[in-house]
Amino acid sequence: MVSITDDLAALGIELKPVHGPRTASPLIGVVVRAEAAPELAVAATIASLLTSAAQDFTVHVVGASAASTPRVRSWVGADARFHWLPTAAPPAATTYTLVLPAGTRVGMYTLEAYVDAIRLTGASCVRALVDGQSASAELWDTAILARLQATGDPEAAVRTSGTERWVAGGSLGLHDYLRPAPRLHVRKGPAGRHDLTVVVRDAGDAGVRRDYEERIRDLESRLARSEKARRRMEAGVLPKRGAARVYAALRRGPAHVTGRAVTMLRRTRSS
Amino acid sequence: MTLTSVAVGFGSGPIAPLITELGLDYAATPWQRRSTEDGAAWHHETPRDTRWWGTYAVRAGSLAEARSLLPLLRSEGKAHRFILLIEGHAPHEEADAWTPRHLVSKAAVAGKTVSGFGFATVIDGGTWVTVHAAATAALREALESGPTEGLGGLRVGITDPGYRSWLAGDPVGSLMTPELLNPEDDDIYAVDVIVGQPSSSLPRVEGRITPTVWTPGPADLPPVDTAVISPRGFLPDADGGIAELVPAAVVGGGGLTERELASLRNAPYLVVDGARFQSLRYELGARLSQLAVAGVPMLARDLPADVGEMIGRDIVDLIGRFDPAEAPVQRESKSIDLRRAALERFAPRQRWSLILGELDQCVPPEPTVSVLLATRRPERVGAALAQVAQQSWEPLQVVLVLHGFTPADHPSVRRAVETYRGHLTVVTVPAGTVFGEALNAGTRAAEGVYLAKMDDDDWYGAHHIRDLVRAAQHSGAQLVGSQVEFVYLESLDITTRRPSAGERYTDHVAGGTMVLRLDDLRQLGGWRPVHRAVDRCLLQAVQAAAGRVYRSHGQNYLMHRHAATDSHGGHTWNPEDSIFLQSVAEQWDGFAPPPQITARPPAFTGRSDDLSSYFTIGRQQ
Repeated sequence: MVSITDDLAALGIELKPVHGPRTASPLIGVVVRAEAAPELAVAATIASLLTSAAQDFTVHVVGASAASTPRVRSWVGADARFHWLPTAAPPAATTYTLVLPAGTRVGMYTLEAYVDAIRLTGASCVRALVDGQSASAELWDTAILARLQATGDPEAAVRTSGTERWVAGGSLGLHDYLRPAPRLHVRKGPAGRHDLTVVVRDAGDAGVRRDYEERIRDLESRLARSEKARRRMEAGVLPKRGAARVYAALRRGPAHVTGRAVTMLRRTRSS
Repeated sequence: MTLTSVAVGFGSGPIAPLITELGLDYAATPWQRRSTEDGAAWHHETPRDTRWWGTYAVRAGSLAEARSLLPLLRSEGKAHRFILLIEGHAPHEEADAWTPRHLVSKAAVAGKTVSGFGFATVIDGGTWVTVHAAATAALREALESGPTEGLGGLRVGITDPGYRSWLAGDPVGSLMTPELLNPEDDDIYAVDVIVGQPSSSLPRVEGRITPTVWTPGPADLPPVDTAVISPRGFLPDADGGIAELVPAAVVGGGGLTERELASLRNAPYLVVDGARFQSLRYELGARLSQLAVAGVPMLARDLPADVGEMIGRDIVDLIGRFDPAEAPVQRESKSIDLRRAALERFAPRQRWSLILGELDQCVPPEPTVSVLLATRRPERVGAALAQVAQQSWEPLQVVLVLHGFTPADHPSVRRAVETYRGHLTVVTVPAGTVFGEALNAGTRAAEGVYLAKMDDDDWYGAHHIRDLVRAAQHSGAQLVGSQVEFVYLESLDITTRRPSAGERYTDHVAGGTMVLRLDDLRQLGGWRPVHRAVDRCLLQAVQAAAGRVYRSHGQNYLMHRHAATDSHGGHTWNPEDSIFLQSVAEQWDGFAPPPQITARPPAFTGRSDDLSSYFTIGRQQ
């Protein structure tokens, strides 16, 4: 008998695993590594999961004592998806296992993008570096993880077999909770997908052309800044952060500070 | 947002007449009229990378005035259209003498693309211009590559137009007419070597050098004109279909054209069935030599034995190594090996060096390269010198700049310096010396024709300098280098590869791979005396002097992205390393240098503890 999903596919309706009907086992088992992280960092990670478009997950917060996270525990205490464990949990009966260091935030479509990334690459494990975080995020095929854990070191195994992939966390929408969310200029699949309202515009209209040209200029400006940052990285020069950045800006004089403020205000109004 | 246009030097005069006279549409955009005397008019509220203009028109009363305006334009951002009007100025209308350089400038002004026809240049000297000089000038403007080195001073003549392929690389190569074959007794011959067979023996005059006459044998292939056919344009990731060489392409002995080569670039391989060329063996040999110089990956079979003799067994073997099932990085590496061998044999200067050697004539020497190696790290000196020692290029001089220490301070440094077998010059500079000045100190000690900057902590292929010197020779670029394509991320213990756009002219190359002529560097004023970004400053200087920058392949350079060091001296990851994971085309676990680099892994390998998997045994306690 033809399955209902096959019939739907014939109509052009394709559902990804993150969009499928719920089953007894959630799609993703999230492990939040709390360890010595501050309570706010744990809360920020949990908050980002709650605002994710994909909600088919269970969460194990590992290594956080009750004394260090009383408010967070109280906050999500009634949500059956959240569990608090003193030590590592064995892989849950989920399709994927996602490890997030506390303080790592997911974007609205990060879970979907992450699942897509592991499926499209055929990797057993996709690991993401997040600027500002000392540990990486990692997404595993749970069945493979469980098998490898039973027979040895999973990390060593995937490295040897060449089925581990590293990506920049920003490309999946991951970011440190103390830093702004990454701007995604090039939409990489679900990481940048939104509900679209399609508006047909006449490219011959002068106003439409001006609007697109302005967007192109904005993208080119961002690209130029990104290139500058990349070259600085290649040269081993770290960008200034925090107080050092403020000080560097102030050193350029009041005209520069005013100009930057005006530009930022214009961008805010136009966005 | 409406784009604003800018008019500089127009005062309150009208702008529209100039625009319409130029045949441009005069869009009714708001205009900013900017005075060159009012400094405040050049101050902007917005950052430079957000300054966009519609039309940017500059009017000057003279060439001197126009040049004086350049500093004002430095921070003006970008414009949709730029117009420069120099009143009363008609460049290259007249010249004291129509030297080739003057004609090149005139051709640049006059050359244009004619719709339906192609590129046309009209050089009207107003007075008589030498046809050959005018043609050379016109071609110079049509050619993307810069002027190349030629044959090292060798002058070649031919007795028959059928031999003109032997003149590739000689800018004043000549068809030997009767008057050239019989100069006046008190005059010299115009050439050093004559290809072909003059109808009569050359007259000899005591004290005058008589050219060597040489007739190519049936298996002698001419040089390849690398100004047109070169590795430039090679694509590491060719996603088209496999192409095939057909006999019709070589009938008549016509050489590979730039258009034909461009059409092959997107094909991952070119199939060559030697059995189809039984009656076109010489033509096939010539074509294979050109394809090999261009680095075109080939799947060849049944090559006639004499074709193998023509192009050389080593090249035949290199052609035979291609495998359609191989990974792109392997395909590129084999192409690099092929084009390297082919350039050593068929590039004009190298081809004539081989011929002169066979004729027991004096062979022009290869240019000396000075390697500039500056370091603040005594512990890196030994390894850095070892990298240079494995370079295949000769002759080589190493200028080792010790920044803040001397060999006497460190036994390991002294040992490395004493045991280095090669031409080594050690320069010491105080620790407080600005990096750019440290490089200048080393540059002053350099003696070579070329200067190659190398880093003390990255990895280089054995042919790094050779490939870049040849790239400089065939591209005519003032500055050559590679991009950072391969990176070893120490904290993750992985090697990544970024997408490459292939061999091309560009505006950026990695600082650790820069090669340029020493004279050019001195003309540019040397390295800027700054503490960092010296490479970016050099790139800017080269481009400001209208020089070309050429990027060769990236397989000779593996960048070492170090882990940071924590307070306990252990290696940890650098918090901003994620940028190195953006736009990654391929990645490999561990230390995996590209095929062109043979290197041992660094002393510390292994993933930082912080970045080990959460599920690594021993972690989950």
